[in-house]
Amino acid sequence: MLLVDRNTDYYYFIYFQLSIVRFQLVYAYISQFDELLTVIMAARIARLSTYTDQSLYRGLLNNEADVFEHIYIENFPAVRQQVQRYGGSEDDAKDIFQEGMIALWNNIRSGAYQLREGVKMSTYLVQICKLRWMDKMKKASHRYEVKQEDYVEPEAEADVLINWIDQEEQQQFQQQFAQLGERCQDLLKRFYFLKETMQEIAAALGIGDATAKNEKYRCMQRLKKIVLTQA
Amino acid sequence: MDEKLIEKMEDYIHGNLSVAEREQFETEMATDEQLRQEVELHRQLISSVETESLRQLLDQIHEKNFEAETKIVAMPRRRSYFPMAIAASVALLILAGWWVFNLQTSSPESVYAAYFTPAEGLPTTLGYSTNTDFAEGMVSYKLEEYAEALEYWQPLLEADPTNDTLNYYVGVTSLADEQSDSAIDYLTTVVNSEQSSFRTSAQWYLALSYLKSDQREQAKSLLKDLANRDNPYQSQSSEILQKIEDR
Repeated sequence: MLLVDRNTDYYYFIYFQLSIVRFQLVYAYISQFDELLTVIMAARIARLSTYTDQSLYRGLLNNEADVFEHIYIENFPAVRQQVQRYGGSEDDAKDIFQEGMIALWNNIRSGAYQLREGVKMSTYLVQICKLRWMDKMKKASHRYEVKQEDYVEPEAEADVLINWIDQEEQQQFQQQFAQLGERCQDLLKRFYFLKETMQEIAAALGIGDATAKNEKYRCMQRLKKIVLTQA
Repeated sequence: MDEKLIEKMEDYIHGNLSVAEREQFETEMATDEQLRQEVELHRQLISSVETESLRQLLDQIHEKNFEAETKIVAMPRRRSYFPMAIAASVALLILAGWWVFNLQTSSPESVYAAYFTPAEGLPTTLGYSTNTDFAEGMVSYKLEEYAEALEYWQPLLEADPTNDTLNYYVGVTSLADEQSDSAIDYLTTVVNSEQSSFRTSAQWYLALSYLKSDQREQAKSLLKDLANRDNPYQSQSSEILQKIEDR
């Protein structure tokens, strides 16, 4: 199973790269910018080689947007293919994949996921998404036809399913968070997710440090109130 | 729950305490069940905020890289409608613009809506120890939670009914909270207190309150006065006068 996965990954990768190269060639031909082509290719090669599993791991720990984007682009197509193959829709694939990204990120943060020799992070991500989708289908087997031989019993990756956060679960908080108003949402996202300092936030919002600190405190209190009254 | 304790909780959660501080905090938590629960709730909230931020980021990434792809594949024929769509939306915009413009030149209420922006708040800092409720109200005001700001300020104003700062902010907040009648009461007090540094601004907001409650003549006399002397509201006042006289 793993071997097949790797092959499809590999072919997809080649296909993806080829289509990009083709697109870039046409673009360069039209605009006669040979130099631009060289620059684009160099940048692409440099970018591909800069991400190792270690750097991805660190990037996820630091909540770096371009690392999330890189992993998304590289792995979503494979997960989509798997989900669609087993009767899921494009939206199902999107939900499962985003849940999988969040699970991977949470497991890295908690230390439950460690880099392993010979197991690529992308393989792990695609695998847990696939397991989750199988699990879902099994539970809703009246909706989807599951062939017994297709169902792979979860092994080492099974523990990730226990801490898995479903989109539905996150939805309640999503609504509660939305009640905060734009300013509070922005402030809390900057502080807790983007890890900006209070000084950076104050500068970005054009307010004093102490005011920013006070507002952040108030926003958290308000969020707490919303969550507690709607628990 | 006070801010010092929350800060300590956050430092604990983010692992920013020294070993000694952390051990002391853990001992406190071991004996204080309520504190332990507070820390747990706070940790949960932070984690939810982070997860939600990531979820939004992933949605953006998806939209940027995969939504466009589906659309192009799914409806290539739609392209020819594009110029028509542009023409239609331009027409719609012109129509909407004309309508808004028309409204602005007619009813006092819409003039009010076009000119009202809440006054800038006063700076609030954590060290605002002299009057915490006033500062708390100011933070609410800045976060555009007007009803909450009024909850903080009303009791203060009852205790000190002639205070011009309080009357001014309660007035502007009432107006922002769509209570133009009470706004008129509070702001009149400020306009009548000769020495107040808020007097000119209060006059401007009082004029807007009159516009909002459709009392055109009162609004006019205030605006005429503002238009005839040097102040930050001078040009806006003459503009409004023209608009409401046009009719």
